[in-house]
Formats: sequence, structure tokens, C-alpha cells
Amino acid sequence: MDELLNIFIDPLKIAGKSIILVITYTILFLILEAFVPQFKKWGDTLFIVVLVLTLGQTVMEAFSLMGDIVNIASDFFLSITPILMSIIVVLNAVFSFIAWSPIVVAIFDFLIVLCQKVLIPGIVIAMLLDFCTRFIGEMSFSKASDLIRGTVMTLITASLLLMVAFLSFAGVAFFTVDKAIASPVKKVIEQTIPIVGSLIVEGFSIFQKYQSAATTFAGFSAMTAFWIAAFYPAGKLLIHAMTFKILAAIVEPFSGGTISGFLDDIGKSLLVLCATAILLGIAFVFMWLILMIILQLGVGKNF
Amino acid sequence: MTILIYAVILLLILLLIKETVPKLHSLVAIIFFFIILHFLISKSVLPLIGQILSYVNSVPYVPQLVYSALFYQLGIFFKMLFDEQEHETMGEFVMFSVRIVLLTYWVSEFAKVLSSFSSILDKLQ
Repeated sequence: MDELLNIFIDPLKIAGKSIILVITYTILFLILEAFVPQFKKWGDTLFIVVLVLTLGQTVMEAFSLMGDIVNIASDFFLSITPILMSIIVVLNAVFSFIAWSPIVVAIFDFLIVLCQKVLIPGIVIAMLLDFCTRFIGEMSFSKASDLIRGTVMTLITASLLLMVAFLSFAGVAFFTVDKAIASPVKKVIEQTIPIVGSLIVEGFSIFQKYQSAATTFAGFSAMTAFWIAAFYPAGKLLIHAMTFKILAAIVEPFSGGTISGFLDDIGKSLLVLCATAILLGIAFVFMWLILMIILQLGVGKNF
Repeated sequence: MTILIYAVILLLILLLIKETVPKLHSLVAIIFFFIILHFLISKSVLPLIGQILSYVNSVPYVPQLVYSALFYQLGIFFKMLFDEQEHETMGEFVMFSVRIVLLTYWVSEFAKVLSSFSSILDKLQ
């Protein structure tokens, strides 16, 4: 139980620690500027360097977490594809009922490749461009990094829409839950969390559709545990991203636009990374649902 | 506060020397510069730095930052000393070496992060 709690508390601890660190550095740089005014030019640059040195760990961790997830997911999909395909061939009658066509599997595989080869390197490049923009000063790459982030976000939204559209065309969404209960919560989430809020809400509504179907098979607690496992990385990344947004807000009054803009840009990039994690989580849950339904039908359980 | 009084006394002595032995004036001025600098650093600057560092000893890179600023300020003092003796080029040399020392230290620190960042890029391939 302790370890389970730590999983959720650790990102918050890192968030608190980074906020305290940045406040300390801000005060320190204000003191240094008061005593050595000529040091200001160096101080501004060194502030960025120190921020990269101390908070870089968090960003690195976020990216290595994302790399691990992608690797695990691609192994998972690779190992599961032959089983799924053979079961689809064997249990033809079942599949005419559920209408999971093999194309769904292909789409998920495509998603993994997209994340690994395009989305994550794209975000890394966007962050490097941001860093160059803030560090060099005279040269601005902000348009380029915004373009990359926008493109990545568009790709994520487009593939999510494609997935949802395909699943509803195939007639998988045969269970629906009353939407009126959850809509106020969804509105709040959509408006408070920038960029990825609507994506999270979209993810929720997808699972709302399948919740009753899934709980029929696996029971509520198992489903909850599974969702937490699938969306824990996304949640962790979201906390990291919001931390950087908060840091940008704290630092802004004391140090020029450069540093807070830099922190804000990192926050934006991490939010896009979080969107990628959500996409992977959704794909993961869907694959697992397919496998679960197939296994249950295979042992002869009825609805 | 004592530094202020010392400075005034030394200024008076300097003026006296300038009137009586003008040839020795600049030599004595340099000696006094080092005496005051020594008092300033050992009596007030170092205690202040120690106090600041004792508050934030768990925060990384604070000592490096504080000593960088101190080093830069010392460089400026030496540059002004050279400027007073009308050796502007030498003064620029001092500042140049200060900049190089600061850059060498911070670039070597920064290189660690860059190498770990590139290792993450390798991992994704």
C-alpha cells in the first residue's frame, strides 16, 4: 500500500521541490543583482543554465518515462498481434458479433510507430528550439517550435478521432452510459487544463461508452486498477507539465520575460507529451479490452 | 561601517603622500587598495556569503553562483585599478580571464546535462 501511495505522491513531491528551488534561485539572483549590478547580464544567462541543470532532471525523467512506455507498448502490441490474429481467424462467428476487425489492431500498431518515430522526436526538437530561442536571444525559433508542437497535437487529435470514428462505425460501441451525469465535470476539466483538457475529456467519454461492457467481464475494481495503470504515466506527465506552468507564473514578476517564457514553453511541450501518453493509454486499454472480451467468449461466457 | 572609516583615513594619508612624496603616490595607493580589499572581503563579504549559504545549503549550485558573482566583482575592481594607472589593455585582460574562467566552469557543468540529454535521444532510436 505504501508503494502504491508513493507512486502518486512522488510526482507531487517533485513538483513542490521544483517550486521551492525556483523561488530560492529567484531570491538569490535578486540578492546578487543588488550587490553586483554589472553581473545582471551574466545572471540572466546563468539563471537559465541553473534552471536547466536542476529542473532538467524532471524533463529528462519525463522523456525517459515516455520512451519506456513506448517501448513497453510496442513489445506488448508485437507479442499480442499473432494471438489476436489467430483468434480472429478461429472465432469468426464471435467477431461478426462484436465486429472487431483486424484493422483496429493495425491502427494501434500504426499509433505506436507514429509515437516512436514522429511525435516524441518532434517534441524533443521543439524543446531544443525553445531553448535556443531563449538562450541566444537575437535569433528566434519560436514560430518553428510552435509549428512543431501544433503539428504533433494535430496528429494526436486526428488519430484519436480516427480511432473513435472507426470503432463507432464498426458498431463496437453497443453500450452507452447516460452522459448527463458526467458532463459538468468534463466541462471543468476541459477549461482548466490547457491544450490537453479536451483530449482527456474525450478519453473519458470513450471509456464511459465501454465501461458497462468492460465491467460485465472483469468487475469494477479490476477495471479501475487497469485504468490507473494505463493512465498513470499520462497523469505523472500532466503533473510535471502543470508544475512548469506554475513555475513560469511564479517567476514572471521577478525576472524578465525570458525565463518565464522558457519555463512556459517547457510546460507546453510537456503537455503535448502528456497528450501522446494519453493516446498510448487509450490504445493500450482498447487492446486489453479486445483480448479480455475474446478470452471470456473463448471460455464460453455469455452476455 | 569600520571599512568606511578606514577608507577615509587611508584617503587622508594618500592625499598627504600625494602632497609630500608625489613619486611614491601610485605605489602606496595600490598597497592601500589591497589592504582595504582584504578587510572588506574577510570582515564583511565572506561572513555574508557564509550566512547566505548556511540558509540554502541543500539547494544545488548556490555556492557556485554566489562565488561567480564575487569573482566577477573582484575582476571589475582589478580592472578599475589598472584603468587608474592608465593600463586599460591590462584591465581588459583581467576581465577577459575572468570571463574565460566563468565560462569554463559553467560550460563543463552544462555539458553533463547535454550528454544525458543526448543519451535519451539515443534511447528513442
